[in-house]
Amino acid sequence: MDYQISREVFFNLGGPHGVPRLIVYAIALLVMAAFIYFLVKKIKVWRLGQPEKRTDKIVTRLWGIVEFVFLQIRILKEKLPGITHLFLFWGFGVLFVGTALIVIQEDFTLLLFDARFWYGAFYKWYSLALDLAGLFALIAVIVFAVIRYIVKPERLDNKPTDAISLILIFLILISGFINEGLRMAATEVSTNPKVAAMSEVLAGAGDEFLREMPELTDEQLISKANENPAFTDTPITEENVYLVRNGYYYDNNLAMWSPVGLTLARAFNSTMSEGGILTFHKINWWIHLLLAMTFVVYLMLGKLMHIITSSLNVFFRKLEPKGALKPIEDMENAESYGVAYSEQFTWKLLMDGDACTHCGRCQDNCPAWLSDKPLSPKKIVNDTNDNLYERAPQLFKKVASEEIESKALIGEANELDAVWSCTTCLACVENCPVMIDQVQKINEMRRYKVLMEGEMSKELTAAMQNMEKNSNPYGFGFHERGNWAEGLPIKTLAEDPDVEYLYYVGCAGSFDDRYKKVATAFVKIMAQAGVKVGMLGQEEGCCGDSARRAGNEYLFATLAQTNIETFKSYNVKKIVTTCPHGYNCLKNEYPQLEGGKFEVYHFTELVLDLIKKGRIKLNKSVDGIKEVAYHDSCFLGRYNDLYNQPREIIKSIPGTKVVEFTRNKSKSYCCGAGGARMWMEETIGKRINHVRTQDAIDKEYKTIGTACPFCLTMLSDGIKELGKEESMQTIDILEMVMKSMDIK
Amino acid sequence: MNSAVILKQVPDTEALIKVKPDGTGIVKEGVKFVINPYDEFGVEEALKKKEAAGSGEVTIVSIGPDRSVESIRTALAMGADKGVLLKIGEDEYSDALATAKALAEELKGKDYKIIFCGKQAIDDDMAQIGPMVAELMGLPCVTVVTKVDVSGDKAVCSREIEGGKEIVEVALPAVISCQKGLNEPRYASLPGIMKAKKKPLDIKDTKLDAPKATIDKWENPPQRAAGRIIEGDDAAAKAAALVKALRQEAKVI
Repeated sequence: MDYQISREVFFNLGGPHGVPRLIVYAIALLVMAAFIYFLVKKIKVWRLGQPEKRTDKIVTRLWGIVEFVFLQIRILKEKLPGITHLFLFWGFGVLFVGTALIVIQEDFTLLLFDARFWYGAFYKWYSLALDLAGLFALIAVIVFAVIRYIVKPERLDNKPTDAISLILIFLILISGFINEGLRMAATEVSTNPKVAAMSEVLAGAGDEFLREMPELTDEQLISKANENPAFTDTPITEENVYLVRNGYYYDNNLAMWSPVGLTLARAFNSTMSEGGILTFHKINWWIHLLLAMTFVVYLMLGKLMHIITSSLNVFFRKLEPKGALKPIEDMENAESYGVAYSEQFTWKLLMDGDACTHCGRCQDNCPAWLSDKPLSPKKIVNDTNDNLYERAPQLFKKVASEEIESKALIGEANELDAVWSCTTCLACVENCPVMIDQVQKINEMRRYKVLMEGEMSKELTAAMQNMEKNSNPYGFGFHERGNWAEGLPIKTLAEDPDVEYLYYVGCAGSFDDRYKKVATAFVKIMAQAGVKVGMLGQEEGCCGDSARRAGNEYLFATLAQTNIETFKSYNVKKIVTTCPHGYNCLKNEYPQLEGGKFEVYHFTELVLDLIKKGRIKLNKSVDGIKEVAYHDSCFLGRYNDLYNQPREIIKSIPGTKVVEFTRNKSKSYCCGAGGARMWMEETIGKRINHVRTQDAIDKEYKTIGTACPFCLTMLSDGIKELGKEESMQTIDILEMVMKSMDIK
Repeated sequence: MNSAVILKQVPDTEALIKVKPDGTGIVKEGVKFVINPYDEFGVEEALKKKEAAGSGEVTIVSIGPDRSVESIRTALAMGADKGVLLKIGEDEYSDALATAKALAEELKGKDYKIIFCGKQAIDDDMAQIGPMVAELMGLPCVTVVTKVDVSGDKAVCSREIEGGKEIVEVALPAVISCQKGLNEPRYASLPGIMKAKKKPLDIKDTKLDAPKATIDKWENPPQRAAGRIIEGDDAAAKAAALVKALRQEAKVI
């Protein structure tokens, strides 16, 4: 057994049996107690929130920890900060695990079973791994400091805790390396000739002695060592017992496995005396220990808290379809709806606030923020969190919510215009590395405004009244719903219920003149492809997406339930939609209601499948269009991961290629119409549709391809309003498919 | 401040109205019924006045068939306190005077400081109920009102008149008929909707007096003739053809 390749714990600090070890344990216990105290305090604050079940599907939840914490998949979506964070996470992680391994050996396997594993080849690789880990972590800290304090991107707000955290980690790493360098200077690469000589003497000592030695106290070591004739002339005493130990670990080859430590050790040896090195080592060792202990306590107090809270947040993340908002339970008997006081959020939405790392990626991708609206998803999360902590002390005293003096959640902590600026595009949610649900938060506040106070913009009120009276936000009479399909090869289920798919047309397909053409194209394509679809005509109702996203859960439930009853009355199994809002609503949200489970497809799925099967034949190019800039609909892409289907369809058209916006797929920029914004005036900042249209203008794209009625309207308006009608156009994928099939 | 609102349920403005083949009425199947929009202004104003006074009750009074309950509940959801439906049969009809008499009978002796109603119902456009009820109850009536300021036993109302505004001071109690512009009717809150289900709604079977004015027949408006595209070799020829058609066929120039 190669016990010699290892080292002694608590070297220069009384060895494994010295008093310092006990002091360290005492400090560690205090620190653990403090950590637990602060954690419990946090948990109590979170539990001020409302109940929500987030403990189902444990395996999936744990796998999330692997994906999003250990593999940092979400964090890596941004390259430089992502890789830097990976370095720091794994660097610090390896250092933590390395330290923990020593604790496991010393306080568990060795104590209970006399078993060591921290020696030999393992020790060598361990040394190298920790050395490199420290180095990577150190580089990461420096890069972070440069990003934060020199580059200063808008999305980062520098608070004292950011600096404290970086400095703390920096000092821990530096003091750790200094420690290693000093230890190695006194042991592995000692310049004391006596140490080298002692090493040779020890090389001849018996195996048994070598094996036992690391565990001997100074006294035992002195008497044992002196038994050896080699020490007769210069007996080992209290003063020079370290010579035995150093001689034992004197090993230039081993030092190669700790390159950073070796470099530092050589520097120390060339500038300091042996006595100085040992004294400095003692002092620095305590400094390093205290810094590390401070780190553990600080874990629950500032920025570093995210190590704990973000991991918890990942574990407790939403596992329901990401496109589905959470329903209000038992609307009939609930006393209040939505959230007006921060403690009315569920505990998980409150935990979000402490999980936020302030990285600002949500803000960077928010169409409202990027068009100069008062909404930043990051601000929503953090201002809500501040509001919670402002209220928490009084909540613990059981003061009633209404009587607590604090900033009002809506209107003061969060601007009302911020709440209404959200397009529910999900860019914040999809780009958040720690699975915060900003959109649900915003929706809860909208629910309060709409359901409790009936307060919303005039235009939105009108849209909701239209949905109530005529089941469409446009305000057309409901009896006109099926008129667009007159003369087309499609029947209502009342006329012929024997169909493969119900085509859920939606309000835009039924009433919007431009989008009626797309609905018409769909019907003709299906007829040509020999797929039998039927529609509901006058019996169809609004899907309720806009109502729900505007916060009117009651109206949504009413509309949805009416549709579900109609679907069931015709025994509908498979539904296809052209509008992504209807698609998301029917597919992900109707199942929350009784009897609301149907097979729901978006036309992009169905059409691509038919192209692959050869039932749709794309014969010719369309109006000379050579390239199409495909604009991702939020409700297809981020909501339902349908990124490739629309692109595949466009590519299947002869002579047509897909070109990309700079912001595309999960980072695509909303058209501005989601979240019921379609029905509201946009009076603050730039127009979101102009920003998006400008993206295409900057790239000199001529044709914008869409697969959503709202996107089509918004971008067509954008082109008109920016005076590009002559040179640019929008086209729905279905229109392209129809023309390519040569259908008139 | 107690007030009452006379409310009529009418077909939605977007509803497709078809006259029955025999001309005795409209086809009601598939028609969505709503609160007469002008009456809705009345509901909102009554609620505003009650809120400003800090006390009082708003009573909704309607004449109509069973389905009118839905509209009364909507007004209760907005915040009105109780409702009365003077119930008549689905196709029962009488004239405005008989209707006003029944309403006046119900409203009499109830300490309403203001009785609000719409300036007219959007279905039959009679615009008679407000003034008739006032007359029958011996109350003053201000019609087509866009602003109401109550102070003590008086109200100062603004009315829209041709080319301007008329400011009228009226002693209360009075009947006030409401015009668009008076207010923005509120959107009922969900607790309001839930509470409305439990608010008192008195349904009284009602027999209207025989009408003195009867409707002989209902007719659809004449079908609009199809448009015509003027053909011609060039713009000048088309213009000439258009002028000729306007002068000789349409006889408008």
